[in-house]
Amino acid sequence: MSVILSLKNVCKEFSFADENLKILDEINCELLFGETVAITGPSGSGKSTLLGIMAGLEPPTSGEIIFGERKIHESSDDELCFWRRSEVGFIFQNFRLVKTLSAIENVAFPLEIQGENAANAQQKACDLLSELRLEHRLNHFPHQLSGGEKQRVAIARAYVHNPKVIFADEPTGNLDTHSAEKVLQSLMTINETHNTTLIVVTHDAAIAQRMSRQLELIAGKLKDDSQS
Amino acid sequence: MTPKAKGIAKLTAQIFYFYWKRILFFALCMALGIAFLFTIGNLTHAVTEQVSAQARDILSADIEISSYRKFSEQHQEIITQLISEGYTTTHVVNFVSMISAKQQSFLASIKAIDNKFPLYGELQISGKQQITSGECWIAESIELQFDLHRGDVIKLGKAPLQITGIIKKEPGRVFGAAGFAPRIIIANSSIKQTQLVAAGKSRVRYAHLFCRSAQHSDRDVEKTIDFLQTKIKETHVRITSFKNTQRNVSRIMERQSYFFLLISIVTLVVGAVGMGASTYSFLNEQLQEVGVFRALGIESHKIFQLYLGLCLIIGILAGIIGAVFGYVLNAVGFHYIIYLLQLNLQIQPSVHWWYFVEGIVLSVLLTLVINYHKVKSLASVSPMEILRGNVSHKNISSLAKFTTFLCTTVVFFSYVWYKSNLATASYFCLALIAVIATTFVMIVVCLKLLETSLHYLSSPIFFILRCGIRQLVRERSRTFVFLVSLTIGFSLINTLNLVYTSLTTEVFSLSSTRVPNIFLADVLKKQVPDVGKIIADSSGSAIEFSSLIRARLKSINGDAVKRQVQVPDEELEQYRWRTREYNLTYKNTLNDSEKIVAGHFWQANENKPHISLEHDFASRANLKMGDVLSFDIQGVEVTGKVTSIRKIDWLSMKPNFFVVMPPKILDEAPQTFIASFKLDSKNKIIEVQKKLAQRFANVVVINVTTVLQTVEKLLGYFLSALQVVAWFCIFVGVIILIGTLGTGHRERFSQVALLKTMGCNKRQIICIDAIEFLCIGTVTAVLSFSISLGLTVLHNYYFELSTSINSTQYIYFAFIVLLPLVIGIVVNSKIYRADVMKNFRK
Repeated sequence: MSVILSLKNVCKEFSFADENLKILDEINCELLFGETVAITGPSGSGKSTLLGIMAGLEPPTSGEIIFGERKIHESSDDELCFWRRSEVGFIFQNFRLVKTLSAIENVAFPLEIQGENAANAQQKACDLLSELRLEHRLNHFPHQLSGGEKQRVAIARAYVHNPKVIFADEPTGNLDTHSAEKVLQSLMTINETHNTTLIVVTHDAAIAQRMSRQLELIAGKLKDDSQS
Repeated sequence: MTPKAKGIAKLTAQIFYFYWKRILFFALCMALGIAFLFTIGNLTHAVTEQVSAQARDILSADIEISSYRKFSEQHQEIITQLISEGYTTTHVVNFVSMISAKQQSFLASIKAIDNKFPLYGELQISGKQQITSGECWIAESIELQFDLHRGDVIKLGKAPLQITGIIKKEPGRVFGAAGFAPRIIIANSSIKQTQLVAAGKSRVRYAHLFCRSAQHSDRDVEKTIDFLQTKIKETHVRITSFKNTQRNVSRIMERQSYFFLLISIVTLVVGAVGMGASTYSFLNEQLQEVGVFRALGIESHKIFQLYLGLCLIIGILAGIIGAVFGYVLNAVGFHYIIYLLQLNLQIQPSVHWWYFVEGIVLSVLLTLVINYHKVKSLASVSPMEILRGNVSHKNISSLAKFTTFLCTTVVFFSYVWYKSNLATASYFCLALIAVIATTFVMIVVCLKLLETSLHYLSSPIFFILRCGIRQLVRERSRTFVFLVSLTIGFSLINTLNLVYTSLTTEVFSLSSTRVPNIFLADVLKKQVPDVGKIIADSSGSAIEFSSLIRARLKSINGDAVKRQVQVPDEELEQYRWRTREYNLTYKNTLNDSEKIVAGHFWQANENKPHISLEHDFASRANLKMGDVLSFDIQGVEVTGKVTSIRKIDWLSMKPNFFVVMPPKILDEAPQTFIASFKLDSKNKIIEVQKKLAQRFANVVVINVTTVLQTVEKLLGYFLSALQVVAWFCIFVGVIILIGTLGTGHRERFSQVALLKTMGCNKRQIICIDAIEFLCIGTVTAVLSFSISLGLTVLHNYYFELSTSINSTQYIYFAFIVLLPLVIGIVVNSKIYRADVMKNFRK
């Protein structure tokens, strides 16, 4: 399998009250196309920061992030936006659906940003939501959906434009066990269908175990558990 | 205070402390409306107080006896009696006349006085302080406009008068600057020399002013008034005390203040809408806290008290901030408003605690009434539901919404009633409900149309437009608040502009049409042919003269029109219209500006004493078809029956009259003649004025354009004063826009972060917002123009004016469209620069 995302000597520091806090310290890793990766670690270890840096949402203090041929750390804001809209999908812990859009509109939105006709986009969204057994919720707004349903809409939104990589930040963190299992099942199934690289940040060992590879972030260093 | 109550009070204080910025914003929404009510209350109070203090100065006497006829011997005896009782008197004669000076001629308002004038108040003259025969004092405006100075000679009638002083200040002029006929003061002894009064002036006002002696008290003055009222039976003699002046000036001021009051109430309505909507969403956000409070064992009624207490704080804060703003406005803008109202009084701003109390009571009442149901529903929600997350917002029922609307309207109605009268309150509230309902329906229609448009915007090129419109129509309640708060203010100011434009366009279109622009008055019968010839030579066509006969109504259907000592307010208008001096005429045919609306006009050579009345005059004086009216024409009684009612287009500028009778009934009565005609150029007007002033000094030439310019100027001042207040209504709308955007910042922040994560760039996000604000601006502009146009058309239909729109309206339209865009983008600018990860971490 080819490398889709590689991190070379990535560091991230934050300044707090005249003190530099090193969150990520010389991170090096390569993620392969189609693999499912779990990033674990204790609270405050910098998992979400690492995910953000990988996704180009935040620049590293130093180091390189390369996605295929693209140097993420050197890209402009507009280039990053273009990259994210075409090759990246996101799933958040607290769903982050656009509250003014219905389920189908939320899912169709990434396609619309890409410049797809709204009617076509909605048709694709409809198909995907049906795949996730949400066909009866198409025109419901976020506040009319349960937590599990919201996260499944978010999953559909992340996959609708066939991205190469999905970044998921604690995707089941806000759900009860039953809903979490259902959502995770949906995520794994759809990921298999789309054959996408899935990078999941989680502190749930059970979820991490279901991924093909586990990375652990401790004291700013990334430990590849699958190699040990 | 029980420990539990103490606990609730403490919790209320803590919530207030935590959310103080937002609570301050809620209060600020209403504070400006309260501030204006505070300012207007204090301003009216200050004027009324000063008018009371200066009432004698305004009348320049304790008592005035006046008439448009010369006083009879019996009247002279009464005057002598008053003098013997210790009253000091001075004789004043007022009339308008043409003045010739330095190859110019102009109309002036003449006041003939003796050296005792004024008995009260200040007559400030720059120059010689005593006036004698052959001298005059002129108004400053004459000095500036006609380049006349001390030492120059003017000609009034047959009398040459030397200017010995410039009038700097004159008692008795409360409203308006010098009108279209500026003042000239002469000595009583000069009147005879002018030969104007004897020549048959149509409107000469004779007055005797009286000043009490040191021995007289106010009670004695009142007794004297009663004595005069019973002694003088004739209605043509007007007896005025300084108290009447006080009452009249206060009434005019009160009427003017109504306009300001109503605009301030509209500002408060806009503020109340903003406050209501903001607190509504704030209380929704409190659901989680309420869930925790309930879970911790706080009873439902305590939650109710807690949040109602918070509303009470908002109300009190609004009242206090309003009073502080009002105080500043009163201190800073007082003299400007006095200037715009053209009040010639020495008034200093004053502040009265009562208006402070009024403001607080009103704002507290409004806050409680508007939020009562919402707080009640918040307190009644089940804690488990909230904690499970099943309730994200709690709506109130339609019945509760209706009750809130009704109660709020009742509060406004009661307040306007308390400050003005029942009729004003009823009309105002009905109009306000109609405007709000129309605005509401129009917003619903506009949003529906925009939502429908989404189906037709599926092409990728419309992505930004689609997102912007979607944001607008889906954030319905927020959009409603923006639209209502901006539309009402803009509708108000635009209605003022449109009405003013219609009025001025209608009036000034006269100068560009064939409508007469010159009025002649006081032409004697023997002068008619020669005056007619001068006019015909200048205008190129013969003109028609109408006779003018001065008369008073003596009886209606046999009941004498008597002097009344005390007239109830509701009958005052009718009394005044019945007891005033009228201009009558006689003729056999109607002119083209008259239309019979009831009965039939008589045929030529009619001998019967028919009477034709003007429609509005008849309704004001409460006169009907078939009434038998007796007129006193210079002592001769003429009786007739009302057989027709006419409507007159007064803007035709033709000589028209309230009362018309057949020629044979009136042609022998003492009369003068009037005429109107059109002169195309300014030079011709000057030429005719000069010729007439030289040959017929008694003839008055009124340049209608000059009169209209004065009217426009005064109207413009008043409109400016109203606009100052109305602009603050828009300012409140802008505060609501900024405040609502500000309170929604966190949510918007999160949404922008999400859009960026999904690949929207900064430009696209700004464009989406720009489309939303542009839509708000466009809908506001369309709504406010439609509403103001509707109101103007209604107004103009009632006053029989045609509606005109000038080019500034288009600029104004563009301003309304762009205002929310600029404000929205500026307020949200911080959001566009937001760091996505920072937001996610939050």
